[in-house]
Amino acid sequence: MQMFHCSGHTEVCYNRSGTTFYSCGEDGGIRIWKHLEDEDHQTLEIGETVRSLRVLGNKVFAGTESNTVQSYLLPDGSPDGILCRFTAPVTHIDLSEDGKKLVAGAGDFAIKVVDLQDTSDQVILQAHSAPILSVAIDPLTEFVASTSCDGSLKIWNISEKSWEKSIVLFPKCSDISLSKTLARIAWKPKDGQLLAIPLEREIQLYERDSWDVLFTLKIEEETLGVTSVVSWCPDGVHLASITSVGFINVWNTSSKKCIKSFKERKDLPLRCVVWNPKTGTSLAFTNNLGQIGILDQVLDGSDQQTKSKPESKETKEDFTDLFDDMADDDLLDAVTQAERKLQEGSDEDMDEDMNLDPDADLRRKDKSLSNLLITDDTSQDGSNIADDTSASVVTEPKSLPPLVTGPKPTPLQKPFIPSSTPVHLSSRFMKWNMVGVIRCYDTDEESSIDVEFHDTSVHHSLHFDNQLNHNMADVNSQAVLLATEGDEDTPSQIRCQYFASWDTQKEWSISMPKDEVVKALALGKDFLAVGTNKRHVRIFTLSGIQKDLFCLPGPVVTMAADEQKMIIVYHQGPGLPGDQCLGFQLYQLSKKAKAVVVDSRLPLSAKSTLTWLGFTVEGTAASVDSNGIVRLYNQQSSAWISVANTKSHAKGKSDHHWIIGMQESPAQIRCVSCKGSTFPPTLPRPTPILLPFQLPLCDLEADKGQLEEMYLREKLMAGTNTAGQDTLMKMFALSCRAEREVRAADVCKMMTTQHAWTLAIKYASRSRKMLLAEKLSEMAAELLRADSSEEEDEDEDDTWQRRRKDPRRRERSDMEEDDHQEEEEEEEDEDADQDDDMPEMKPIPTKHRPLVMKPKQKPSLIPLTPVSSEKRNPFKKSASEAAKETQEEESPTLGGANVFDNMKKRQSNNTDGQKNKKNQKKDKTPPSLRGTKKAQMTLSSMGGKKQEKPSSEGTKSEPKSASQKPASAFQLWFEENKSTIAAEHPEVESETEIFKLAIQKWREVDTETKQKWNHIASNQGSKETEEKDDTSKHESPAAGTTTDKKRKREEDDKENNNNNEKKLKAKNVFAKSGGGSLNKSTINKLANFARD
Amino acid sequence: MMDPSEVEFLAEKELVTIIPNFSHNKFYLISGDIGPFNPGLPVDVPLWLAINMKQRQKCRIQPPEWMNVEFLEAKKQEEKESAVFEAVMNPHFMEMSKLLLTHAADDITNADEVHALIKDLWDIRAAKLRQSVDKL
Repeated sequence: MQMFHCSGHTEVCYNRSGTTFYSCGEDGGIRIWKHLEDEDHQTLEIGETVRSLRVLGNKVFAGTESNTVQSYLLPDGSPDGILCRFTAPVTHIDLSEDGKKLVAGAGDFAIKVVDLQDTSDQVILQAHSAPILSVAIDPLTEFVASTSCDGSLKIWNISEKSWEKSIVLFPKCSDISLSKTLARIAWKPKDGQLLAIPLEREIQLYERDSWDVLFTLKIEEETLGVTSVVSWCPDGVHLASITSVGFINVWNTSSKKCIKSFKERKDLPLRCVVWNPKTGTSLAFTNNLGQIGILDQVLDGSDQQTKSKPESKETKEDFTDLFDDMADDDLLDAVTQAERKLQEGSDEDMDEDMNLDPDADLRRKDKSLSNLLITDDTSQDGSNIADDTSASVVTEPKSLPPLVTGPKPTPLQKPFIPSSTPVHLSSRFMKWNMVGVIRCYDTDEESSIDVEFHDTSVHHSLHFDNQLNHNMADVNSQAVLLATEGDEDTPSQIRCQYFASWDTQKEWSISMPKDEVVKALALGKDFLAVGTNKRHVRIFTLSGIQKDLFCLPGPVVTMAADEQKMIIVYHQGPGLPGDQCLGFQLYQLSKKAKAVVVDSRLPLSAKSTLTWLGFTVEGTAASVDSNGIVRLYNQQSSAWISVANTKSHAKGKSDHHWIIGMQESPAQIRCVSCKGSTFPPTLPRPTPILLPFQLPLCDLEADKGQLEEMYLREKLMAGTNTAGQDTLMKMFALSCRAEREVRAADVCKMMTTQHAWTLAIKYASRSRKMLLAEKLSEMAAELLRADSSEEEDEDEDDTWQRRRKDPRRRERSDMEEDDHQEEEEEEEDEDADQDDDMPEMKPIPTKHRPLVMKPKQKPSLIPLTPVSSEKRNPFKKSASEAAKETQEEESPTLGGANVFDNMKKRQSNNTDGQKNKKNQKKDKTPPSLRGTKKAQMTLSSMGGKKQEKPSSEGTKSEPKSASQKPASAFQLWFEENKSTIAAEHPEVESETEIFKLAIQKWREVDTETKQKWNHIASNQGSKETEEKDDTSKHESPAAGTTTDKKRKREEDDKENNNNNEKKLKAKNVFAKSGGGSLNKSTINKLANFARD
Repeated sequence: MMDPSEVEFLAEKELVTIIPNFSHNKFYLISGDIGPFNPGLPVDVPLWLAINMKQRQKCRIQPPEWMNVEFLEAKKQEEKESAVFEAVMNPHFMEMSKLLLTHAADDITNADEVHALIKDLWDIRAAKLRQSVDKL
């Protein structure tokens, strides 16, 4: 025993090789000793009282009274920077076995875990309510154990930054100087399977993961004082403890007995005890007078087991040679294995391979080790030493059981509230969703909760006092829900602030039954739900009625609700190693009853946990896991689809996106980008950012992949059949250009609208892919037939209804030909249009305008009677003649038109047959209706949105073809306002010009007026039909009630037209359709444009 | 010659990000479409609108990227070390910061420091200007 430091707290520590030891004390120096009588020991003058120190390589880390953990370089002791700072003196530091992490505790109740490779990477652990007494880092660097003057022992999970276990074990005091015990705890070296905790008269050993007391070492009667420090021998079997009156005990944890007891002469309180890491046999200790003592050969002789460990290693080295000669393969193998194992065991750095080794392998090794050793012993001719060794070795595998247990079950993920930050923070987000933000401040001065609404029109900000320690919350546009977990004395409670209620009692609270603790909660429309540790889900109305109670199959993880939907995620059982095994239940809570929509497994990425759960604005369930994968639940296909990876947007590896909410259209993820952390601080106020969705498809760099991704995403988000047709067209064009005709045909098969089909066929024929065009037409015809026969069966009643509703249909049957004329006209018209657009269309076919013209488009796939001029309606001359002309002029020039003509002719046979069949079945059905019905449906559902009737049935029955166009709102409006416009622009003479002006005006007219006109138009449409009974023979349906005026106009048109022809030709792209036809078609077209 | 109010008027056309606390559809201005406004979601609007909304307590203004102490300190250093004018972060930085610091100081972290730094930057540049005029 030597006097080295001035009196006061003194600590000692060995370097890793055990050759030198370092001591520190209140005199402000660190001394470096080769041995106890080292005369020229070195002193590093720190100038601050060093409370704790650790040595790694050429660095000394010292926790000082100046509130910092400093690093010094050896041998000269030059400062190497500050590792971390506190606001009070550092009380204890510890270094992980791999030398990568340093943990420090201080008088300001905080614990910091510093990554020594990157000292900016610090984890702060705060939950103790008194100065930290000691800290200890787990050899596997997963956990930190800490004790504090508040009497508690806490075990922290470093990655989660929260404590897993907290127990009050020690007497409470206000400062370390007043504490009776230093409470220096220690993890079992290498595997950290045990945590030794010195209590007053015993040492408790806690088991890893379960954190239960595995066994207790009782202090014998004769040992006096309070046990305050424990230290593990590097062999992981022996334990040294010291007491406040100078006793040193050495324990064997496998026999659970005290094997040695020493007494320091002066009964002085001992402060520190450490084992020599190399030899594992000597102990260094200090007392509070600044003296250091060393006990050599603690485990020598008196306890054979102790000695065996270091010795056996040596013996084996010898034996390897021995067995080499014997050339016993098995044995040799065993020896090398055993040797490797032992070496690994004694290596400073934990070999990772060893950890990863399958257990079976380890077990085998263990066996071989003991076998080997027994063999060794026998070969040693039963000498005394050998006997000793054998005895020890046989027991040895027993003392190292943790290495051979089966795969460790993955710890179950703890329950959490989506979009909240950890509970232990003094200022944190309890919830951040689409409605508002709930923040919680928990400091010494105040404990309060702030609720702030994004939309101030929902409610003004709220402020609650948080005496009850609410730590869970949710908010929606009706209420704020808070919940506490309670403790032994107070039950768990929920509190609801129903601010949207119309009476004066806005608030209510309710306590859970004894021992039932709220673990998760969710707030939906008019209900709230809580999940408890008893696996109950309790549903309340927002006014506080207990409405429902049901059980979950496993412990709840989290839950979320939106409108009438609720999703609950629970543990289904242990997952694969590293994985969670979660299940989810989706509920639909209607007024009458609650229905489980689905109960199934929740997919997660490998070795990840669920981090967010909620609904999109549109009401689709969504989840996010710790690997940043965002998934949406597609109810149609009952599958979770991964729609985004937030990690791909993160700049650094440690950057995260903290999810707030999601929206499907436009597809966006609302989140907060956190640099270097998993969640945002409350100050400075974080700003949400938006991330896009992107399905993880292959080959996203190429156009093809991008388009496919876009189509899938659009289809998924929209949930309708007609979504993504534009994208499909692009894909089609791309495949065409890449000469992939079969692929193009496949793309076509995915198209759901006739319009898209038409365009595709046109495109194919124009890009000279005749084979493709032909195939497509065949497919289209097939499809059409299938569709119409299906419809026939399904919608019989429907058809009747429709016909009743739309008497015009019936009369139209005899004017069928006329209709077709018109259709043809339209088609040609469009062909012409497209033809003009062709140059532009070729490179980017989807830019074409036809999409804009949907409403007027008459799908050419509809089987038509061959166009013949004889059947033309003589009364429609003014309109259809023009069309005729156009057609005659145009068709020879158009590749597409040819194709269609052929196709039509081909199809007409089929469809005629079909029609006959139908007619037999149902005579009353006019053939034209049969033929056009499908097309009209599709068209109206996809294009005719702005048109008259909103209900699908209505729209179906509403004719959209060109022949009914006169009833359009614009034309009515135009009739009304023509004179005004003409007056306003006297300089304009031609009808067409006026028409154009009118179109411009019409576009400017606001939607309401448009609707009004639409309404009038639709009314007139029906009126018109009545009239038509009389007039149909005389008047073209193209005119309706306004026929007279219209005809006049048309005549005017003609006149004007001739005058303006030249002018128009120059200007108008449609000029080449020439003459009167130009005007008519142009006007029609423009009218449609305006309507769009 | 433009007077300060005119320059300010021009500066007000700069876009800044705000976080509105109300919802509103897009509105269509001559200069372009603005919105839609979703409560709690950032949206870009001209400065004049941002200030107006801020005054009516309809939004929080997110200071421009360059309006923080670190950036400005670096900029100031750069400006100091160079003999000529350095490229500024925004041609209207002075006007913008003046407007933002008067109307939305609570939305800017370390508003006082930012203010001082901007002033320094301005002074350095003014000094350079004077110097070059003197040389002439």
